[in-house]
Amino acid sequence: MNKKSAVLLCILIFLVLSCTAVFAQSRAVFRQVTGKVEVKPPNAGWRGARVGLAISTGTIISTGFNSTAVIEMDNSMLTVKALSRITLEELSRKGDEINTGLYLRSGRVEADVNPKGGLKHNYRLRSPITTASVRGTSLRFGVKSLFVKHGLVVMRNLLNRGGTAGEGEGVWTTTGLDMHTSEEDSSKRAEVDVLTGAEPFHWFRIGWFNMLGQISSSSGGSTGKSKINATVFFYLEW
Amino acid sequence: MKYRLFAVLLCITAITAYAIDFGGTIENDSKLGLGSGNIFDQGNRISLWAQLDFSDNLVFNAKASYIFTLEDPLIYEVDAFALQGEFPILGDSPFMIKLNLGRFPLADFSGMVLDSLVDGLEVVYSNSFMDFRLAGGYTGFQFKKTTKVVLTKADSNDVAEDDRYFSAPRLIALAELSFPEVFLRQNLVLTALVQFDLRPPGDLIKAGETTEDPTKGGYLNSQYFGIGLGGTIIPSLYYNLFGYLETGETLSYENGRYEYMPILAFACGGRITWFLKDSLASILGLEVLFASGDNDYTSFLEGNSKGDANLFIPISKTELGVAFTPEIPNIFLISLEYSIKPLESTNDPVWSNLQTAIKATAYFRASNGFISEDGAVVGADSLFLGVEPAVITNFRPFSDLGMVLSLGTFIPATTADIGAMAEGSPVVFVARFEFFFSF
Amino acid sequence: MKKGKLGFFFCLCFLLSVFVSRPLLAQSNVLIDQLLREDKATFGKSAYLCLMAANLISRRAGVDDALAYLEKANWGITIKKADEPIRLGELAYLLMKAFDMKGGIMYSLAPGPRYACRELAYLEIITGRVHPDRIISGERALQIISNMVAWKEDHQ
Repeated sequence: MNKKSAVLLCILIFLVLSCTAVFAQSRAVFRQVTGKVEVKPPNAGWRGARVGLAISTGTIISTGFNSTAVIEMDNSMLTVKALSRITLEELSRKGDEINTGLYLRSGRVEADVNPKGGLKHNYRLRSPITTASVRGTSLRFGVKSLFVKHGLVVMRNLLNRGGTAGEGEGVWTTTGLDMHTSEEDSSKRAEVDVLTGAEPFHWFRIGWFNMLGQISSSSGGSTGKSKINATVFFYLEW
Repeated sequence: MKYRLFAVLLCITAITAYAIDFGGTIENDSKLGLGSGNIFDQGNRISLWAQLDFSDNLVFNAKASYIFTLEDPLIYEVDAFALQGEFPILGDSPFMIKLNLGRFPLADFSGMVLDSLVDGLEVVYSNSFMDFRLAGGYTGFQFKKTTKVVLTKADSNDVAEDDRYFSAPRLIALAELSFPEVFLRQNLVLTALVQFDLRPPGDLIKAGETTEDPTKGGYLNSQYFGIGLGGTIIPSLYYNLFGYLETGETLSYENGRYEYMPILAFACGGRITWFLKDSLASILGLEVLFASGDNDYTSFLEGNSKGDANLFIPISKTELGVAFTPEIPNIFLISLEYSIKPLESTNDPVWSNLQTAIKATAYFRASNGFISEDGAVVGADSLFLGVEPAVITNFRPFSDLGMVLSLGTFIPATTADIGAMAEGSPVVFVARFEFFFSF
Repeated sequence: MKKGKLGFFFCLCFLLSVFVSRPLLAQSNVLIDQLLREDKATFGKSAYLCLMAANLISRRAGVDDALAYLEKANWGITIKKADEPIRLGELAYLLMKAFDMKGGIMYSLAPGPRYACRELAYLEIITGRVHPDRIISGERALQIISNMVAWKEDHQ
């Protein structure tokens, strides 16, 4: 090898190393596998998952019945619950920014996101009808709802309407076109819903009717229901 | 011929729907009152409903009820008969249009001004940051026995008239703009409501007449401008506030002559709720409500006798309380409530739903004038009406069965003490039981 | 020579265990893939997933086994052909029976798709439009079954 070739080689090696440093490939690795967990890498078939298996973007993770998987990604842990199907859409690191994108087709997951060392983590959980943006939080995310254990999360529906949930709060949608925030996941009322699947009350009304203990035949909100309210609701909605 | 055509139309509607669901409910509302004469009241309601799905975006709702009370065994109503559509346009700037056409319930954001069935149209435009709602409806096709829209003496007289079946004819229009999570998780609502009295002149007193007739009245047109704000203070601590300004005109008898005088009244209120999820799903709440009154009124309805009418008159009636049930006009109240699910930790699918609330409400008048309930002394110096402690137990053991037991005691503050209620006003105890079953 | 034959025998056993078990592991995932592609969820696959979720059929079972189980169980469910579309009420009823759920008064008096649908709507396992006659997509069917599994997990 002559001097010219050696210099070119050094430059080439330097460039490759620089690119690697800037666009560092983040890793997603299985840390726990219980029951039947399978992965389907891009352009490949289903295969079993095992502890220590690293997966790349585009991989679909599927858990069977009575099965769970825990996957470690940069500064975050993802627990995939039973009968869930999730795709790792993005996992990359650019400088001090980590980008994680997940698409939940069915089932639910729990995510713990803990950015460390000044790193910024853009963690996005998506489903067919919602998108949740997570920063430094711990939450449970399903196709139509999420519940926040720590931190603050904004979930957006198909209309790009955002609903924020803080610690101990939840956000859900029924069709992807509505949005409700709740202090608890759900609450059961004394009165019986006449038309199942109808929209719930406007949120102001819920509070007034319940807290004042009103008992009146009311046809409330913009629903087709006739209800009598005399209870205390747990959740607020808009 | 008309009925056959209607039946054929219904059949075609049902056939073209690709999914049909139907069912019914049975409700009972029994009330026992002790104190000012013993009362036993009972209302039973049986309702049948149907829902026809035409597509993912279009559904038709119909519901009718038969109501039997001890006072009147023959009350019926069509509670819903409306086509509802939801049309999302998804893409870069997604939005949605919702339509409601037919008979449907219409309410303002607070539920304090309007909550009534109307026959009309509602359109809602929603995008990522706001909802804009426009609605218009007519109340004159509802049966008078079930209406909550009673604003004038003529409306009240209709109830006693046997040859009158329908509710007072009024046209209601609503425009509402809401901004969910507009800033720092706060929700903002702006609303405007208009109500036109379409009653024909007939027996109404005309402006300029000089002979006073307390049994008759005129028409009442009103407008309402409201604002609401609410949201999270910290997780588990929520609040909401509302305020309304009412304008319009109402018949007044002043200086021996009937004239239409302007209405200038207001109502406001607020609530703070604290959820103590880990303490057997407890909720602690504090609530305040104020609706302006007028010292110059000579009767609760259309009683203005001097200057502007300052009594806040909502479009539809709303009753407050358990034992003491005044309507909103000229009322100021403070209420503290605590509710708990005592058996929540058992995780029993039936008993963990049991919920009990205790509540204490202090009632005042906003002015020395009339309130809707009898017993308050008009012109008495004090504004304090009394207190009502209550216990409410709510139980839903199954998906299709629910019941509520409410026990309330109204302790009046009489003029002999520091209050505004007539001397000798009794302590009133009310037990109310409600039962709901769906099939 | 004997050692060579023994070694070959063990290799053959190992290879067989790998290649025979893999199709069984992948079977339910392949079915789920097919279900997710269906605009109208089919009765066979939905029934299979319901029964698998409730541990009523073995991991080696297929759609035909699931239908045979339903025939034998005599739950009063109208058993359709495997490729016929399933309605929301039928799926709800399958889930109520498979998971041995107690319903409300009307479900106890008249068990069937209508009241099963309402029960699951009350429990928020089914959300949105709750018409028992609706034909649902494969994705929605899977979400409902998944919600049922999650609900059971939370309420055990």
